Amino acid sequence: MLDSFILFIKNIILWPPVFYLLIAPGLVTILISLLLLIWAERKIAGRIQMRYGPLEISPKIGGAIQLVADLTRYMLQEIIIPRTVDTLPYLIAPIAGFIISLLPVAAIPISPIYFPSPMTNSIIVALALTTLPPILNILAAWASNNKFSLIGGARESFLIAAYELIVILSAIGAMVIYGTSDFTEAVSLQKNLWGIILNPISAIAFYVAVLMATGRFPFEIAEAEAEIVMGAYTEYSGLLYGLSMGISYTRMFVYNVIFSLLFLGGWQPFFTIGGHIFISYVLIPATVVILKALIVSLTMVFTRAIYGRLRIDQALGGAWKFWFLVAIVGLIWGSALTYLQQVI
Amino acid sequence: MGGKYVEKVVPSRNLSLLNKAKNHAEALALGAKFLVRPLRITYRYPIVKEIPDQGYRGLIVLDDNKCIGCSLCARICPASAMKMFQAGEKKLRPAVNYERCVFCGYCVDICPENALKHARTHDVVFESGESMLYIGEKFTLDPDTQILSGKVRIYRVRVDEKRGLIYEPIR
Amino acid sequence: MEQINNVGGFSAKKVDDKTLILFFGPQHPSSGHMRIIVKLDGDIIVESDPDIGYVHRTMEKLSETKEWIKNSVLFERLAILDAGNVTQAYIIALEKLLNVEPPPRALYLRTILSEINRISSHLYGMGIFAIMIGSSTGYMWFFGDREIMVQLAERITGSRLTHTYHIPGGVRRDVSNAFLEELEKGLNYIERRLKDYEVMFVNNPIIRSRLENVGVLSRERAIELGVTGPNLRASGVSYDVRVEEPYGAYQFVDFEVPVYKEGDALARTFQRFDEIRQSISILRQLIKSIPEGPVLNEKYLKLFTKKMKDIWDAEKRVKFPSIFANLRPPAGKAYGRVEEGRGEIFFYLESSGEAKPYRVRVVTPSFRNSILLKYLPVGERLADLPAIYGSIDYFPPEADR
Ligand code: SF4
Ligand code: SF4
Repeated sequence: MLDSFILFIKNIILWPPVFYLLIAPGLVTILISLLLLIWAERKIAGRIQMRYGPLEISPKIGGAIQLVADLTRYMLQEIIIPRTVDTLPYLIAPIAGFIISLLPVAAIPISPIYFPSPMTNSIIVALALTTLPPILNILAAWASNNKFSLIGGARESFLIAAYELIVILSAIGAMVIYGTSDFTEAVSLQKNLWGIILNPISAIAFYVAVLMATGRFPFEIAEAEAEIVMGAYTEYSGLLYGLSMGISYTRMFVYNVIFSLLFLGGWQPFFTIGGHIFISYVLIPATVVILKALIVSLTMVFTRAIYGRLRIDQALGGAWKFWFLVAIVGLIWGSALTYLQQVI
Repeated sequence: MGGKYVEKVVPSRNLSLLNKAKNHAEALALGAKFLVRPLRITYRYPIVKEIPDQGYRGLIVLDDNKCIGCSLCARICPASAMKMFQAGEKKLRPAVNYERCVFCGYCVDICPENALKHARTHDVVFESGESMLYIGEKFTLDPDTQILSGKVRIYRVRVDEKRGLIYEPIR
Repeated sequence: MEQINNVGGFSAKKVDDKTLILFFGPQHPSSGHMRIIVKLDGDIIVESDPDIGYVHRTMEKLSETKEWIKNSVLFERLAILDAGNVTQAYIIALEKLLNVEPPPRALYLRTILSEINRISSHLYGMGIFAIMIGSSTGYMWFFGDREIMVQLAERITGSRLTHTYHIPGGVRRDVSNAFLEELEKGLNYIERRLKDYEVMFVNNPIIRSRLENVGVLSRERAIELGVTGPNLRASGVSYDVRVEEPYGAYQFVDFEVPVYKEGDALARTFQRFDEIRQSISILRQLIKSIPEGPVLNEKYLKLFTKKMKDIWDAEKRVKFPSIFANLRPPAGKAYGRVEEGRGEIFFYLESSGEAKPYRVRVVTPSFRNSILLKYLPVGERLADLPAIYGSIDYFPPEADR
């Protein structure tokens, strides 16, 4: 009786859709990565900025669980809902934003044979899903009924228009080389040569666009503290604020999983351990992908300690006049490579 | 001798793309250098304590035997923090209220008998308004001895050519 | 925009539909103790109205209720990040009234403190500026390295910020040779770090793009608005009190006063960096040539009792003669001017022969620069408002007095 119950639970957890959304690369992995990333961001900034960074909570491990303490504080804090806000969208926006920013993992495989929903155009679906969260950001800005929020929302919507195109164009720049819009196939084609070597131009454009999409420095424009207080989330407090802070990190991590699948060889180098199907086909590839995504994310949080914040017109100008062209060049480069390959 | 004006222009405006890339790389490299070899200037305050040099204008201590009750200290105090009190018959003694004191040290410097001196501690937590009034015997105790006892590591800060500030352990 | 209603002293204005009025402060991460009411057309500022006075402490009036020497403690609270220079201006004016001159060593010591204060004030201003344009590393670096200057000032005066170092006829403490060595070390460190700042801050392309051609103040405009200090010199006007009317030990050292023409935020940044370089050079010259001798005027030294002399010999600490508690300068008027980190500070004192001033007037550099917040942001983007605010190194408590 008990055995069958455990088996039932195990099967449910290992059922790909559940496993993906809850364990890896879904909720659990993302929460752990958030913990690591935010701690690393503070620690990196601390080291560069002649100070310690977080340390008080757990001095022995360098303050690594600082975020847990912060989250606890957020959870216990009173959530103040200003009288003038549009309550329902105000409440929905950060919660839905956080959940929706997790959605793309439904289409992202982290192992060659084990995926949540078999599909042949998972790249396109994943990219399409990544474009959703900013809408919630704008909703939050609108519902907050605050001028600073409104300006933040307006900035965000300008930025979306700029970076989405670059993300998608540079992803296509990679897709044309592999000749597929399926992650699993694209990764298996990168067995010998990673995408970043085949098409470095698209990779760089994608990287910068992700910086812009997730509000990393120097594109931290929609939340610019010195200018518009906290952008769309000015009126938020407590857990809702904590959630809204998590959105950009979640998005960054998800984007970087896509980045490592498209350009960094995904779960390559792939190897199996005989007799352990679950370990060989799920755990090891998942770890490889997540590690790659984490390393890329680390380089992204590193920019906080180097750069200031661009002005919105400079960011948009840079995006349209420079990075857009770079993405196009990347696309042309990718197509040329494919063409040459066919000719030769 | 004296100063003179020198006209200058900001070097290298409107950098080329290549120069920009170089500057980006330099800034990133400098950041990476600090990441590997940090130049830390802060210290872990409550666990590690820095005590200032001799001559620091900290809390004020009265030497009751030296004081002649001349009230000069109370007269010069710019914040009216120091006031004279009757301490026995025909005996005036100052008392200080740290709610007001700005640690200018005028009282210490004007005392003709050198009855006042600065302690080196300055970071005290007061739990109530009354506890900020140092009067009578309380004013004559040296706070250094109480505060520097206990389980803290005491450091002295030195200016250093390479690292800016270094903290030398005293004990 | 017309005024359509005026009820009980409140005026209501009709706003056209296209502009957004944004209350930038007083509770805003980068407004400081002030409010800037900006009118925005899209992202462009069409009108900017600095609303100052949130930290007005009636200093001028308050000083009429305090004895002369106590006011030095009061006025240094104008700008505690630059306290040495503020009190110096006050004491210079007071010395003119009292007709006492400090001895040479005291002049040198005053100038050493002035320049240390100037470096730390510039670093403070740059730090605030850095965080306003989002460079948290700049912020931490400038503030971190300012700590060295603060420590050095503490070694001279016994206090980190509110030095209260100047007294009529001299200074309160002498320094040891060990201090001068330490100062030299600190200067070497700052000089080396200036290179790092250049790579990380001014030459960083992102930061630079935020500064170039932002908040351009033309020469004519600067003169017209009565701007002062580095902001004036960055607009191509050669004016520095240290040159025009040398005080302290400035006539004994060689130094350059950089003057930039462009008048934008970048020029103002370079101006400050160059001034730090010059301050380092001035300090080095002062260390080399500082003369021996007393640090208080003969007139007061004569009043010293034996005990006071013993303390001076043992601790190099000036005890105040009791007359300090009751200074009564003869009736008259005097002024004192000092080039502070943020510009010229001016004190006008009027004495009626009493123990307290009859009138004190103080014109602070930040007050004179605050007008820039009305004119410079117009036509720029909202994001440039903090950049302009930071680049003029505005310090509200100093402006509000
Ligand atoms: S240190 Fe200054 S403020 Fe404090 S009691 Fe002495 S004279 Fe008064
Ligand atoms: S000045 Fe000195 S001697 Fe006079 S009352 Fe104060 S502490 Fe006592």
